[in-house]
Amino acid sequence: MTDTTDLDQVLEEVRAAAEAARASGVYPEGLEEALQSDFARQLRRPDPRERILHLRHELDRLNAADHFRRASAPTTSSVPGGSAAHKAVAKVVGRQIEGLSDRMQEFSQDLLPVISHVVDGLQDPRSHIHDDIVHELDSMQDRVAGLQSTLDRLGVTFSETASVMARMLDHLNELDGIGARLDRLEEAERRRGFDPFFDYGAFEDVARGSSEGIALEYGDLADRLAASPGPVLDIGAGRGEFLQLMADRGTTCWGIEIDEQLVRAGREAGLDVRLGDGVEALREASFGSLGAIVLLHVIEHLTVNELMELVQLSRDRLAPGGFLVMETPNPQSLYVFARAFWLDPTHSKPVHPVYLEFMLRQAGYDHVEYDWTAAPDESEQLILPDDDSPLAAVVAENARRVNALVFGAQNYRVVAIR
Amino acid sequence: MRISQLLVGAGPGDAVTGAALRLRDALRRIASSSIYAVHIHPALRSDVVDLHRFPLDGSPEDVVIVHVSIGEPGFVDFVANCPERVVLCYHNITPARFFEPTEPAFAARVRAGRWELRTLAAVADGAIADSRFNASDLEAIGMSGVEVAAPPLDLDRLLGTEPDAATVAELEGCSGPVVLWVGQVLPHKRPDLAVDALHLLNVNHQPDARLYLAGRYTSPVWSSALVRHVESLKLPNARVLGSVSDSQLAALYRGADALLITSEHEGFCVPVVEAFAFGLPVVARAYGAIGETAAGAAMVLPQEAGAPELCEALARVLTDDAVRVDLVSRGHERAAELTSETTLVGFLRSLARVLEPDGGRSHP
Repeated sequence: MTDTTDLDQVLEEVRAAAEAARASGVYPEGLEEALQSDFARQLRRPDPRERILHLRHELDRLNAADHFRRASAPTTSSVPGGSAAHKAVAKVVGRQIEGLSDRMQEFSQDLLPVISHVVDGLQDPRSHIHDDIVHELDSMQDRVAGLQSTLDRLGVTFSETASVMARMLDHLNELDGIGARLDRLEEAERRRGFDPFFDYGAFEDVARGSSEGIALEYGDLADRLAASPGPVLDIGAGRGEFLQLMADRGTTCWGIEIDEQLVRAGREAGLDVRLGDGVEALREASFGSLGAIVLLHVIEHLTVNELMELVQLSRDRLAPGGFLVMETPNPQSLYVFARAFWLDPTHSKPVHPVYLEFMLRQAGYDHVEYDWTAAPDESEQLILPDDDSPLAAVVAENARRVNALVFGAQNYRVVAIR
Repeated sequence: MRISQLLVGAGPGDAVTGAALRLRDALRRIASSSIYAVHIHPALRSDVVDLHRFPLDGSPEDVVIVHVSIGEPGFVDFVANCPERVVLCYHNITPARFFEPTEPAFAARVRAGRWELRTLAAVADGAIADSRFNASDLEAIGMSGVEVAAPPLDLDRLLGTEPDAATVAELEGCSGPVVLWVGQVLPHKRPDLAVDALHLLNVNHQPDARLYLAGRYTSPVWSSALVRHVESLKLPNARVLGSVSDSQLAALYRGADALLITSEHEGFCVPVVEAFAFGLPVVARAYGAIGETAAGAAMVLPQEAGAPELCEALARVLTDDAVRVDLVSRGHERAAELTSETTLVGFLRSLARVLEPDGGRSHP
């Protein structure tokens, strides 16, 4: 730094200037005390929080109050015969809506003076209004606007035609539909809550084969992912076979597994396996932080919405050039349903490859590859005749068609590249 | 390994929350890392998780960084029962005496915080303090090996923020110099003294000088008294803004001619460094870690300096080109020492030292 000033010297000059100004009466004796005393007087004035607390009390009371009461919808009509139709529908609708219109009216009437009170406070220049109250006001104004709009719509509903009432009945039917969806969601939740009394790892030996077999099966995939542009996350790491393959190749990797026993086993094997949910782990991962996300026989356990969220999150969490790998039972092979898919009671539903590819492309993956794996043994397939007669040729063609439909590859693997 | 951070409260614009977010993003490159807090502002719901959702399957391989700046019932018991290694990140707890006359409930919380600090110190595996000043607090209760590292700052973010057009236009319309004051409206920040200094500056030196006070109305009593004090002194040149957005703050830093800090207690003082980065000369008093943070790049008056001294210092900074240019140059140099990268690397190095098998520790 050039031409630096001596700050200590400047500070001394500042002090001297203030002292000289005091001595000359520019800062007369008692000035500072007078200024401080004015501020102290302002501090002693009534606490503005009392008004704010009062407002909050009113808002709380308003929110807690039960303004609902049962009321019937108007049933008069200028249309000949319309009153009878109105009465019939209104009886049903009136019971369902419990005087919603009246309630909204009362609520709005109570709310308006409260807001006006807040506005009065805002207009008082001497009053401090806390940020929270301003936000509360904004939110209340939004609610009033929404209520007013609903009231307008309801006004049309009750005063004009019975057909609009019928539409409300349709909405009630939709509610029934929502109820059914909730039932399905509860069912999905119940499935996720699968809590076997036996060792699930031992069951995996039966359902998916030995760890050694799996290690052989995925060696080529591990070779490919060793070149990932970042760490590899194995969701549903299971017994950790794939993590071990990646670790053997010197690739940074970690796994997420929902089963505590499997997590323990993986950790004992020296692997970085964490207890938790895969979608949650992706939510927590930073943008572009992963080199590959691997889900081997996982997506068939998920609900449709979980799968969608997972695909969308994966796109954000992968680094450019990163891999999303998903392997799942092939629903295009009927053999799979007879032998493998329902062997695991925690399977939710199969995922069709066409749907999966469509979803991946919609999520922004431009490059999607397929690989079909684990074809059923030929000894289980239909035997083709080996003579050259025309009949044998027809039988052989039919057998080939049946074999293709029934004995297709048991799994398919999708590799999507970001 | 999982490295979690615990806060009592998380809010936008809060320096501790900002540091925690920067740290989390860096830690996620090496471990699973999330921020948990007891009180979370709605705007931060996607970044900060409720403390009651803190995973309870932790082990001594995991680490919990506990940011300490206030007391909170139950918080210390929670930390004391964590199986993870605990590292305190101490941002200082403002002494209760500042709040007792007007904010007794808040005073009780900070007083409790001071007591809780002793328990936290007893269970922690090490500590990192924002400043030497903060470290001395921990050493006074028996901790040793306390690391000192500036909090992870992100000056680039504010520097790169598009300034609010309305604020820019307002400042450009000012005929005289603009003095900026930044801080929450709380007793120890002494915003009243800034108003008094402006009053004297208007009367004795620069009638058209203006003062903008930017910061959340954390204390309603002090906030309303401050507004009434401005009215009582008939100071149309002072504007009490309350909370400002990042773009408003960027416009204020860009458009102001000096930053005035009147605080009587600071564990670090981020606005000083922000002002340096924006090329603003800073006038302050030698309380807490202010002198340490400024590191010779600000005009730091002695603690006993009152409104007349602050007024004279401002007059000097606003009118003496040589002093102003020198302070701006020094400020730039200091800001260059506290970049996003250097503060983050410095903090992570301190964290690594604390976590070394024979590092940190320190039980009182």
